[in-house]
Amino acid sequence: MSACFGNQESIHRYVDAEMTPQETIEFEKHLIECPQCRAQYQGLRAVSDLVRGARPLYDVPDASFQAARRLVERAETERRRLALRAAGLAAVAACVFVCLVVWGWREPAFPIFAGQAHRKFVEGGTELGIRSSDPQAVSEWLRPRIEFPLRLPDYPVNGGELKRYRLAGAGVMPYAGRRSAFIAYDMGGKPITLLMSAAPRAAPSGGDVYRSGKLVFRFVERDGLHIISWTDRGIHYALVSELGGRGADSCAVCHGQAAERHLIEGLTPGRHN
Amino acid sequence: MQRFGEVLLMCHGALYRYARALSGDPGVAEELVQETYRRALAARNKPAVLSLEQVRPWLFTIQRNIWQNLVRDSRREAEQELEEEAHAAPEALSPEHLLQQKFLRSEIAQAVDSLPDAYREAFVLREVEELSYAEIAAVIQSPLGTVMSRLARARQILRRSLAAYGPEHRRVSR
Repeated sequence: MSACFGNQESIHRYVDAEMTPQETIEFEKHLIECPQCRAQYQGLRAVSDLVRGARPLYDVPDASFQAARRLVERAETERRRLALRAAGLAAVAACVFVCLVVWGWREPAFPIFAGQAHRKFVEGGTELGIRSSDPQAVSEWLRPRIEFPLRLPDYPVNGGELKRYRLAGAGVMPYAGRRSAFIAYDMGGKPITLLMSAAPRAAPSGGDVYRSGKLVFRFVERDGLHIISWTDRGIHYALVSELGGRGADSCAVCHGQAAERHLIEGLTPGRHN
Repeated sequence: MQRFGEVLLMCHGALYRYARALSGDPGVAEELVQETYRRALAARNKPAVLSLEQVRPWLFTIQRNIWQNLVRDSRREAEQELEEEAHAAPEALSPEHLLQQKFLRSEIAQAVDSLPDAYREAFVLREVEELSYAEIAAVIQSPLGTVMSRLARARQILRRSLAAYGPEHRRVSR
């Protein structure tokens, strides 16, 4: 017996519980009224019930489940092993990173940094923020940009004498998280640079030590550069040039004039660090 | 949330039955299930939610794709030979009532097995695994209308082939 026209699909949807509640109510009303559809529904329902009653229909072999379980366990063991290895590698990478941060990536010592800054300046890699030979103008430019008081001296020269070095300008560069002043001089076409920093890490160390009063000067030669570093009133200085002369002699290169000679007199060799 | 492996194992019975419906052969079904597990475990794109509702249709789809590739590779013929051998194997004896039940179940399974592949697949997914029309459509990658027509055809065939069974079956044959 066939269902009435148009209801074949509805019967299947009703058997499969795919109708909305409203559709279900309306269709159940129709089933009560329509013997053809009712018979059709009962037949299909019986097939469905018969098969559902025979479920799971196919026996699932335990061997199949055990084999699947072995696959899953093997995969999970492998996943755990990889995760463990990844964690190990991550830990090693973290240790290497920390070591690099603590030891390897630290900025070089202040005199070495000053030497690198000098080299970069000579090679044209550093632009000065101000180009001026006027110590007052350079001091005023630097003052708001650095964290320590600064007034560049304008050493006197005796009548008839030419000043042996000339201020070229200044810039600012970071060192140990602080802004340091980079001051450039020119001496007969050869650059001399002075780096000044208040960062504690900039305290000079190493090299040949010379004392002058309360000041301690340290002389280092590196890659053809002569680097003199010292600390005065909490400010650390590193002076770099390619000019000849070791130890106190190198100070005399700039301060050898009569008016400045007192600056370097009394420099005595100290302990070699 | 359950672990992925646990959810996979919870789907084993359904996967096996679907494999059995696809292939019609217990041995092939088992291989199909193992391969499905291998693919699922190695899959990069797993269901976002590791629930039975999400994972089961996903596994069915994987299994169906594997099966289709097998068919495409013309391995089906050899597998059908295995099927014949499997059907020839005698059933083990059991107590009488269990035997009757088992016999009935075997007859029904045989009737389902004799359905054309496409009808059997949709029918088992609906009646045995209780997937909705939409879920079946997603697994077999066909429109809802195709799912419904395959189910209707499968039921019509079964209604005839199972006409001889029990009081309900009298209704079946009406």
